[in-house]
Amino acid sequence: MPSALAFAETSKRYRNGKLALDGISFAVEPGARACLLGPNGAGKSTAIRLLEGALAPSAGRVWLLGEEVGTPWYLEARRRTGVVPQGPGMYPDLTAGEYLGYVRRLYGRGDLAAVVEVFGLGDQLATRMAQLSGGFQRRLTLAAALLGEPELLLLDEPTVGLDPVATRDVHDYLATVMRERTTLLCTHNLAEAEKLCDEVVILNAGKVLVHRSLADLRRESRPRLRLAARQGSQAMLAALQSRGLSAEADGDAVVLAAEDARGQAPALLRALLADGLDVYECTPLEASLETMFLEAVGARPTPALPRGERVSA
Amino acid sequence: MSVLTPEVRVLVGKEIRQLLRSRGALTTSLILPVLFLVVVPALEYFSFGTGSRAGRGGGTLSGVSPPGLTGLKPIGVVTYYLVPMFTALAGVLMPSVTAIYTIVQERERKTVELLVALPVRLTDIIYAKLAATLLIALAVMLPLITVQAVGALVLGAAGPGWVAGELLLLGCAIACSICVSFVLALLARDFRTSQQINGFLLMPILILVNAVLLVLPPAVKVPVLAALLLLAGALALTVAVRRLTFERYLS
Repeated sequence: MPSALAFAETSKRYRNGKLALDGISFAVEPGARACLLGPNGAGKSTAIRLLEGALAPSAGRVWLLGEEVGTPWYLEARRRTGVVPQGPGMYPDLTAGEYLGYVRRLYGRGDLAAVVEVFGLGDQLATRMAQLSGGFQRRLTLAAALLGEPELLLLDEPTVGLDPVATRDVHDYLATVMRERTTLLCTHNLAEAEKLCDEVVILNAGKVLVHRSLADLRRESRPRLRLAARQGSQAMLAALQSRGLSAEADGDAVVLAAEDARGQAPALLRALLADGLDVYECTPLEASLETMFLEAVGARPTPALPRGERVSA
Repeated sequence: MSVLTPEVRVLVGKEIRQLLRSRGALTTSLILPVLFLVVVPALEYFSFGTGSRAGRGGGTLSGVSPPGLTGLKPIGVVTYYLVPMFTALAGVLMPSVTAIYTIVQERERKTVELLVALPVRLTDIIYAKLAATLLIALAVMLPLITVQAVGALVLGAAGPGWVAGELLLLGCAIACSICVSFVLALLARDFRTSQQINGFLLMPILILVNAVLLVLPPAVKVPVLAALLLLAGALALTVAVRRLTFERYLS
C-alpha cells in the first residue's frame, strides 16, 4: 500500500531566492496522525502547499495518496483529501450554504445535511461567510474539508487566531474526525499536537530534524526532575550548584535533567533536606513535546544530571 | 487539455454569482459599455444630425485632417472614427476592469486560500475568473452593440458591412482585454497596483487604436485594428505563459 503522503528529496526555492525546503524526505503512512512542527519559517506551510498542488517543487518529488503531484491523476487524489487552510479570508458575497454547495460539486459527492449537523451549522447556512463568528468560520472550513468524506486530512494551523472556547470546540471536532483518517496537522501549538497526534515531523530551516512517533521520542528523551522548596528557586539553584549540578528556574521551582530521575531523586532529596531546604516538591517529569521540540531545534539546552552521579549529603 | 474542465464550470458559476452581487464590479461593468457603446455615439449622431439639418454638417473634411478622416463627412467621422474608437475602448477597458474585481479581490481578501484547499488546480481558478469576466462582458456588450448597430442602420449612417466590422472589433478588443487580465492576475497584488498595471498595459493599446483609426482609410481600418488587438492580446498571453508562473497568484 502506498504512503498517504510522501516527499522525496524535495526542495522549494521561491522567486525571491528564499529556500523554504531543502531536500526533505519523509512519508506518512495510511492511518497515521502526524503533526508537522517547526518554528516560523521552517517550511511547514510550504510543505502543505506542495501537497495541495498549489506550488511545484523546485527539485524532488511529492506524492499524495500514491499519486505524484502535478500528474493528471493527482486531482483524483485531491478529491480524496480534505484541506483546512491557515486563516483563510471569508467571502462577503457568498453564504455558508452556497459555499458548501460549491464544495460538494467540486468533490462530486458528500452528504451536506450530515456535515451541517455534525458542525452545528444549520442556523448559519443563510449567513454571509464574512459575517460568521471566528468559531463558525473555522467550523465551516472543517465542514468543507470533510464534506467529500476524505481519506486524508491536511490541517494547516486549524486553531490559529481562535479564542480558547472555539479552540476547544475545534479540538473536540478534530479528535473525532481524525480517529478514522490519516492526518497531517501543521501547527505551532505543541499542546494541540500532543493531544491530537501520535507521530511528529519537526522541520527547521527547511530540513527534517526529527520524524518519530511520540511514544519513541518520549522513551528516548532525557527525564527531568522538578524540585521546589519553601526558600524559593534561587536557594534551590544555589544548593544544587554547590553540588556541581546546574538547573533552570521554572517559576518557584527548578528543573534539572537526569539520566535516571526516579533512581536519583531520593538521594538528592535527602541531601537537599540535610542542607536545610524545606523541599515540598520532588517530581520526575516525563518529557513534554515542548521540551522535545525545543531540544530538537536547539532552542533551549537542558543541563543534565549524568546517570549514576552520586549526590553527597 | 480542455480549459473548460468540470472544475472551471463550477467555479465560473461561483464567480458570476459573486460578480452580480458586487456593486462596484457591476457598476463598472455597466457604466463604461453603456457610455461608450450607446450614450456617446447617440450624442455624436444627434449633434452631427442637428448640425446637418442646420446646414453646418454637410461638407467633407479638408486635406489638413488626418489621412484616415480625409474625404469623410462629419457623420462619417462619427461612423468611421469615433464609434469604432469607443467600441474598441469599451471592449478593451471593461473586461480588464471587471477582472480586477474578481481576480485581485480574491487575493486581497485571502479567500483564494479557500479555493486552493479544494480539489481544483490553480489554473482552474484563474481560467474560471477570466471565463466569468468574458461571459459578463458578452452579456453586457452584445445587447448594447446591437442597439448601436440598429441606431446606425436606422440613421442610414452605415451598412451591414460596418455592423459586421463593429462586431469583429468588439470581439477582438474583448479577447485582447481578457489576455491583458491574465497578465494582471499573475502580477497584481492589490487594487492599486492592478490599476497601475492595467493602465500601463492598456495605454499603448489605446494609443494604437487611435493611431490606426486616424491613419488608415475607412475600408481597412477596422480589420487592421481588430488584427492588431488580437496580436497585442497574443503578446500579453505569451509573456504571461512564458515569463510568469501561476504560483505568483498565491505569493
